[in-house]
This record gives sequence, structure tokens and C-alpha cells, in this order.
Amino acid sequence: MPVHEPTPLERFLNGILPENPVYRQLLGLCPTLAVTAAMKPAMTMVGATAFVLICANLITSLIRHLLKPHLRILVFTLTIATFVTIADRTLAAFAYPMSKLLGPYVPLIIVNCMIISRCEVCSSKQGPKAALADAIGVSLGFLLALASVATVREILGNGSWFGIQLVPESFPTLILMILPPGAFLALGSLLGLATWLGQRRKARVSASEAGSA
Amino acid sequence: MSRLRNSYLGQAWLILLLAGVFGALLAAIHLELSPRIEENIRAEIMREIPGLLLGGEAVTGASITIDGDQVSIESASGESTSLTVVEQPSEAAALYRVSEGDPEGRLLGWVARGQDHGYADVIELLVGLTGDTTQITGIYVLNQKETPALGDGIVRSDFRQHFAGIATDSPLTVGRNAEEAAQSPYAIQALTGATVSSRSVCNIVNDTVALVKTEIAEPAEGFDARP
Amino acid sequence: MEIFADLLLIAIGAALVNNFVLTYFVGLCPFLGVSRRLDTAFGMGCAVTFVISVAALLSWTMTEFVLRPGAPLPNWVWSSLNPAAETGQIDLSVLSYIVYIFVIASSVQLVEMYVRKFFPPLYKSFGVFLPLITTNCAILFACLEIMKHVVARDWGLAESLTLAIFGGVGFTIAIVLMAGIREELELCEVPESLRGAAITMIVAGILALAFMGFSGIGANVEKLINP
Repeated sequence: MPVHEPTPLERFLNGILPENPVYRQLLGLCPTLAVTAAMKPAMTMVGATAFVLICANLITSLIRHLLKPHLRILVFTLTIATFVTIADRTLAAFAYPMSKLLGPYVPLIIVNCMIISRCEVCSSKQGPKAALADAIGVSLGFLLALASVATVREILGNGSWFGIQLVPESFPTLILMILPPGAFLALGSLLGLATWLGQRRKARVSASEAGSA
Repeated sequence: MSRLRNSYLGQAWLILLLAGVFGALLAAIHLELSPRIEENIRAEIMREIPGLLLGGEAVTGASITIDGDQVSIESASGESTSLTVVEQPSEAAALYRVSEGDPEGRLLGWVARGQDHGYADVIELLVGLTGDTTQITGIYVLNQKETPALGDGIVRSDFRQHFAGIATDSPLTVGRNAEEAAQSPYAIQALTGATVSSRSVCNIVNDTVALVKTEIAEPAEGFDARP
Repeated sequence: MEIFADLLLIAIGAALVNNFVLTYFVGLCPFLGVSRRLDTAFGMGCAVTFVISVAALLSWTMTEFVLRPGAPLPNWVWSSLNPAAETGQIDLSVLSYIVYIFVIASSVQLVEMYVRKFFPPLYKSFGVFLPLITTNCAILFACLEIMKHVVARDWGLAESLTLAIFGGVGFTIAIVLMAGIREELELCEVPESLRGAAITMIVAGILALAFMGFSGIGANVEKLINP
């Protein structure tokens, strides 16, 4: 039976919600908790991760026919480490305060399971178009995840969004949300919400199927 | 293609080629971006030096440009001043000699960087001193990870203001409230609920001032200790 | 005495005050995946501590002698090949991340071979989780912290190894605590949408809140040792 290989469009759409890297696959949790105290660092991290993901996917897709299977992890790691170095240096050169704020979390993109998993699952098996679509889709999913956590943490913890003050200065804020415990609590609650929404959708779909059957 | 894939030697050549390409890419990035990154690191400190030595009012609304060793300040009223900042060889953290105009100009003051453990983690400070090191002109917090809303008040200007103008002939102490602080000209008022952070800042300032005085009294080789 | 106080401060900082999992958010994948049962959690904690120590030793050596700006080995090689060149110019720091990830992969291989030879039943119980330690953020994070301090010429081998070993100890403490709590949670009625990762995150948040109470221990221990 021929294996159904997902088309580029399917890869793109899959990465955003159905196979969301954070909410469904639970990959890349470290940056999701670490840099989401405010929206600006979160979006910078998404940009850096997207850059590394797209470049790594493209390169591994282009050389996928040349590699013996057991050497691929080595090549993936080499590629990802190179592009993370490039991203880190570019950030330090052109946005030094943001680079200091993000600190060690930009180099930690190298061990972000999300990127190696996309290289392994998609770009080592399909052509550059599918790999590119997959990378963009997964990056959008990552953006969604980080934006949701960062919005909750920044609004509750600081009363601002993207640095713009939304509530008056004297209004009491939940400082806990900016601290590490707040990160865990925010992500845990959002994960629970995502699971609940998914279960409700599944219940509705199966109810309508049972109704039409 | 398949022969390349099936032979170990072919694989080895492929890995080497990839390593070479990536290495060249990284070397190019390094050559291009390293100077900018070093400039950014220096600029971080240089940008604070005018405020430290000339006072907060001189730099409110002013635009500061950095060009190598020179820091130019154009105030809101249109006056422009220029300072030269030269790093001196020092045993401990960085020590800068700041002169008005060019390096041969009048010595404006000294700026030193000191660090030590605070309440939660390391606190890094910049301390400004007058040219004769008899007075502290101000402090600036470079790095801190103190408790938010409590210890991290040390970055606020109303706390740092306590240090401006204090004489350096005796070590500074910390008073827990305004009355205690008023009892001695060398006492600063601690932040409410953050006595340990305030004490750490005080200790760092004392150690840094003592270090600067020793280094100027017995200058190392290449140290420009002219008054 | 001074060095002992420094090492104690680093150890307490890495294990309790700035716990790798609960403050820096590194090492979350095994924290979520392996913390269902107490004995596998403890085994994973010990394995990670072992790998972190080996990787820290290797990466400190590489950073100190090859990778930092002004490192002795590449400069010696360059000046013997090119006697007329200026000394101290070679800076290989741009290759740091690549070298670290390969050092970590090699450490995991080394530890895997060691465990397979001397503790076969343990090796079988780990299964696929042992090679997966390569993608554990905690080890790369420890290497990065060591790099930061070696480049700033702050730390030697003792401090770096202390950070690594006690970082692993802190990870073990956190994962064992989580495993104990999860074993009890299995007997509770957790709401369906929260089962699995969500309730683990919420419990981790409460644990992190508890660990925040350790803040300030470092400063007070230092005061005890150096009054």
C-alpha cells in the first residue's frame, strides 16, 4: 500500500494547530517558559527559532539523498548548531539589549527538540517545498503558543502588552506571573484549556457523525 | 549518488565538505560581526558615564553619541560637551579615566565597575568618583537579579541618589530608615524590605572605592594617574 | 577558606536557589516524561548528574585552552606557523556551540558505554532515555554558564565542576520531588483536561514557588563563613 506523503499545504496547516509543537507535541517547552515574561523577547525568540528551523529544514532536505541513515543526526546537529551561532551573533550585533535579555536561551535553540524532530520527520524524507512549508507552519504554531503564554503573563504580571502600558501604573498586578512559578502555572492552565477545547471538538465531531450515521 | 551514499569514504568526504562550508560561513560571520558586538559591549558602559559624572540633570533629554573613545553629549538646550574615556589597566574589574575634551584635557573623574553577591545573585555596579577621589558622584546598576518589587528597587534613581555627593574618607554604612541614615554623613537609607540588597550595594561601593584609591596611589604600568 | 565559601555559594546556588529545572526551565523534557515513578526518576537524575559532570569537565578544558579569546593553544599553533604575527589574535569562540554539542554527544556515548559494561540491568531499564540525554537542555546550559565565566576569567576548574555537579543534584531533587507527588496524584481525581502534562506543570509551579523561599540563603551562608 503506498504511503500517503503529506503535501506541502498539509504540512503547513498541520504545524499550526493539529500538530502544534508546544500544545500537542510538548516540544520546545524551555523557551516557552523562559522568555515569555513579556511579548518582545518572546517574539524575538520565535524569529530566531523560525530562522534556524527554515534554514536547517531547507539544507537537510537538499542533501537528504546523499546521507547514510545513521549519520543523519550528526549532520542535523551540525547544521542546527551553525545556524544558531549565526542567529546568536546577529542578535548580539544588531539588538544587543535584547540579546542580553534572552541570554543563554538563544544557544539553547540547538537542543530544542522541535527542530531536530522536524528535520527527522519531514525534511529528511521530502523535497525542499514540503520542508519549507513544514518549517513555516511549525514556526507559526510556535508563534501562537509563545504569544498566548506571553500575553497572559505580561498582561497579568505587568499590566502591559508589547511594552505598552494597558492599566494605570498604580493598579496592582500579579507579579508572580513574571516569576518562574507564574510561567509554570500559566503554561499548565493554557495546556489544560487547549486539551479541553480539543476534547470538546472531538466530542462534537463524533456526536455529529453518530447523528448522521 | 547511490555510490556516494553506500561508501563510508564518500560519507566521510561529505561530512568534511559540510564542515568546511559551515566553518567558512561561521568565520565570515565572526569577522563581520565581532567588531560590532565589542562596540555594543563597550557602548553599554560608555553611555552611562556622562550621567554618572555630570549628574542626572545634565543628561535628561540629551542625545549621547559614542565614537571610539569619545562620548559626545548634546543637551536639550543645544550645548554640547565631549568626554574622552580611556580604560586603565587594573587588577580587578574595569576602571575608566574620564577627561573633558581630548585625553590631555582636564580630568573629570573616574568610573569603576565592581561586583559581588547580592541577595539573590551577583550585583554589578558602576561607581563614579571625582578626579581627586574624595567624593562619589553616583552609581549605576549594570546587572542584578534581586527580588522583583523589593530588591530590584536598587535600580531606581531615588535609591541611587543617596550615593551622590557622599565623601569617601570613611566606609559607607546602611541605615534602616531615614532617622538612622541622618545620624551619620556616611550612612545611606536602605530600601524598605530590602535591607540585604541595600547592604550588598553599599559593600560593593566601599570595596570599589577602596580599590580605585589603591590603584591610583600605586599606579601599575601604563596607568595614567595624572591628577 | 575563601575558595571554600565561593564553592559552597555556587553549590547552594545551583542546587537550591537557582534550581536548573524550577528557576532556569532547563531539563524539562525528562522532568515531564520520566517523573512518573520514583525509582526511574532517581535513576534519570543520577544519569544526568553523571553526564553533566563529564561534559562540564570536557567543555571547561576546551573553553579554557582552545575556545576563549586569547586561548593558549590556537595562538601557540598560529605563532609557530607564522612567527611574525601578533600574538593573542586568534579567537575561536564562534565555534563554541558546535564544539559543546559534540562534547555533550561524546559524553553521553562515554557514559552509555560505561553503564552498559558495568551496570547491564540499569542500562536495560533506561532504554531509549539514555541517548536522549543529549538533547537535555540542562547539560548545554551548564556548559554555557561555564563558558560565560571562563571568558570573564572568573572561574577555574573547581568552580565549573561544582556548578555542574550541584546543578545535576538540583535536577535530581526536583525530579524526585515531582515523581513522589505524581505517584500520589494518580490516586486523586484530576479533571480530565488537566491530566498528564497540564497538572504536572501546575504542580511544578507550586514547587517553584516553594523553592523561591531558598532565595537569600546564599548571602546568609556567606556571612556565616566570612563574618
